[in-house]
Amino acid sequence: MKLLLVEDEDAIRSAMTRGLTRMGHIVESADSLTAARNCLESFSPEALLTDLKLPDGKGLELAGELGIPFIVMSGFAGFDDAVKAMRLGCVDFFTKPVSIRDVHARLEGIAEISVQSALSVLETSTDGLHIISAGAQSIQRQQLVSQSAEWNDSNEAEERWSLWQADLANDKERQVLAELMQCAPSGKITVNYSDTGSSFYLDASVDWVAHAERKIWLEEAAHRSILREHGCIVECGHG
Amino acid sequence: MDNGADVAYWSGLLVWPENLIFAGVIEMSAVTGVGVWLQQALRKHPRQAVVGASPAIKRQLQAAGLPILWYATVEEATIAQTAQTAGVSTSEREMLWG
Repeated sequence: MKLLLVEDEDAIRSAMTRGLTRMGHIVESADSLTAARNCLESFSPEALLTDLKLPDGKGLELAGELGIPFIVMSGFAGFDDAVKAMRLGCVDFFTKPVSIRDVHARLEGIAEISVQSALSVLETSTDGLHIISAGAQSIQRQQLVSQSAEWNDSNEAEERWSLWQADLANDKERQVLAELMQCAPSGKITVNYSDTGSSFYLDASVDWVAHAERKIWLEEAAHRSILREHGCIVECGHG
Repeated sequence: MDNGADVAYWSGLLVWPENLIFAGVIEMSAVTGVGVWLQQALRKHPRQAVVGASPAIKRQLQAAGLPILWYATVEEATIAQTAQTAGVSTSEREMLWG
């Protein structure tokens, strides 16, 4: 896969370039956003692997410009950064130190998806965020609407859910919301709605051992899920 | 129809813990979703007779490995339960006649 690697730490950049090249990827690397943009004049990458924080800006800026699948690496990022990245279409978010093998596995996944599915990019306009999906025959534009709620105890969680549940598309999404809100005594949840489904972002600490049965249910119900000890993402499709 | 059976009728989207009444037979045709908390509650009632669950709910509860006895109708569940309880068990015999 043709890959653009943007990383300002020399040791990490050269190790990743060597490792990923050995695994069969064609890697061009840059140590800043400016260097990456210069590189793009003669190189068309299929995927971007970028550090979040670069000397002249954030890797997400470049990701937004390129509109290709991208992976973010960061030493300091928190859940909010991961959510921001995911909203821009980030396919994975690695905390440093990053395993080259894990990155390679994710790139293999991207290569498969790129063959099978249409390209989607996020557009910001005066009336909010939109997902632009380009298929073989048509281009679709759909508005992205978000809603959030916070709770500090189980009663408050149920209260918030009761007020919110009518806005969700179906009982499965209502249950996903309820199950996520029961994972932690306090937390914050954000739901992004789109025509094709909803994405749930839980910002809370979760003991998945204590919620093992709930974890199984969520993984079954989701189209895609990333369930971590802090910060969980569950996507549900309408189809 | 009052068939004299010990039946609890549950309904709605049961995704938050609440005090549900358990009975010999639980009628679930008006239940639209079952939360994980209820899976856990049902686990405490082994061999619970259930009727009327939608295929999706039945699939979920079966996948969770719950020891539920599934029946097509309340009548069928009642007959099965009566058959199970007919006669005098060993423990009952011991209790009565030592």
